[in-house]
Amino acid sequence: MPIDKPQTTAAMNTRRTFLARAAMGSALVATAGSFFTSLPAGAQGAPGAPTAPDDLGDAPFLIAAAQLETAAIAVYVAAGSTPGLTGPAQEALRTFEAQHQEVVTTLTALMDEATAGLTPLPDPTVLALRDGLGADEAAVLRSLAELEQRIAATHLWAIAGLRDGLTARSAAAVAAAGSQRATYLGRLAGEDLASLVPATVEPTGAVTGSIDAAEATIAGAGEDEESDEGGEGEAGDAGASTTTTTAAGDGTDGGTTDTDDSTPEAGN
Amino acid sequence: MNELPNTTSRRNLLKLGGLGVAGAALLAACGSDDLPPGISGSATPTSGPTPTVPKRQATEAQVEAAQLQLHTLASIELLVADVYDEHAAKIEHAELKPVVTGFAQAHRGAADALRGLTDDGAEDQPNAELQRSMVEPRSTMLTNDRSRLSIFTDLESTLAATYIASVEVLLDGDTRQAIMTHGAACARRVTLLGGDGEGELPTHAVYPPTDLVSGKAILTPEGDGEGAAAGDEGATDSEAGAEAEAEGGNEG
Repeated sequence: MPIDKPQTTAAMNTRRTFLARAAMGSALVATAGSFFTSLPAGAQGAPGAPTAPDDLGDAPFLIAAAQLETAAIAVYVAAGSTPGLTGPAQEALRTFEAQHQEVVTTLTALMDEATAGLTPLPDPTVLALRDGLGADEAAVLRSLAELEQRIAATHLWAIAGLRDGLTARSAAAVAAAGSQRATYLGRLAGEDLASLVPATVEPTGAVTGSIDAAEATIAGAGEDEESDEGGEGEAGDAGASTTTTTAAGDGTDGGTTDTDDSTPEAGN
Repeated sequence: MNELPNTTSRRNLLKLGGLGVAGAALLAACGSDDLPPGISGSATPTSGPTPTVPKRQATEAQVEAAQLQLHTLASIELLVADVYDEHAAKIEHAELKPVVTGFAQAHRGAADALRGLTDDGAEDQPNAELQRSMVEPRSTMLTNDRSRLSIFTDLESTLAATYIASVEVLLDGDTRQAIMTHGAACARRVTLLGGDGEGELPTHAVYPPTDLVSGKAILTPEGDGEGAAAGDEGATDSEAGAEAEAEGGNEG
């Protein structure tokens, strides 16, 4: 008995993945009113090792993950201004900042049309790390390693509750790459090598509070759509009234612009 | 559209649309995307992961595939542990040596954990196909730190990529998460050991599937595939190879 081949890239668009993703997107739009309220207690931002979610909506997760990545970009930009960074540190910061931007693109590609229209606000928990990065290179690198570990942990945590296999696989790939960044930064910072390679990587420190903000963001878009009932708009127009951010990669202040007062802020 | 009742809202339309597309996805999932050119249809009803199907409706084939994937991962873990057992102590890098010598135990622990996730709890053997294709060809060349660290890195990356791909095969969220606690640890080791042991700057935003095992390394129910555990006295390589080929064996 052969095993069906999992060995395809997440980015590869086969007929199956295309239709499955389209179906997922349609189903999420269709049921948007119900699953936002079904998140388990484990999704409520417990520190440390949070309870694995039983059933985490893919759309809120993707938005929340994009919020984390967007904030991470801003943190990296801030870290890059630390005086006296050595060449390897500068290279790592530039590389990883760009990688977080790539992850946003990856996550967006997994979203259905309506969700992909939402531009996520930077996660405030991660964004706050800009204020405590440290004064020297080693401290900054340690802070960034912690940032990477927490984002990786968030993906590991979410894997347990994601319904779509492709989304779960992508979360796994993001978690693995984030774990690598954490390791590299830790080594640059001079951390004990054994501490960088634990036997297992647990979801400790997962930033789960962003799920709440993601729910609110999507729910806000859903309410707009509901109030528009009877109109001619496509599903994708839900993204027309949502939040936008100026933080993504501009390195300024991570400030946000809310283009629709009815859209909730992404707060935890 | 005009014949729809007045109570029809856009939401209802979207729901109907979602059901329709979900149905299409189910139909699409029944086919294979991986058949080699010139072959249509499928010799056996291979059922892969169908993401939109609730896990309780998983087919027998899906359940079996998930079990085999866990056993395959365990067999790779055992092979990697064996390689560390044989070569880790020879590492001369003073800072790395005490760390690397602990990796065999970590991999055996992972294999035990994976076995605990299987339904039958059967013990696995080191993966024969990877032994043949990845380890044996390099065994005589492992004469210095560079070559040893290189094979360690390659094996860790193979594991990491295979863990990630396995997530889509497995049907249970907790199991997916459990295996990735090991997969992420492998990814960390790749970075630590890379760059000839000085650490290697990760170049991918998302872990790439480049080092995924070939389909031949995947265990089969009868244990007679090329991926059968080392020491198995099942079918010959040629028999297993023919079977894998007939099924459109996948590429890493």
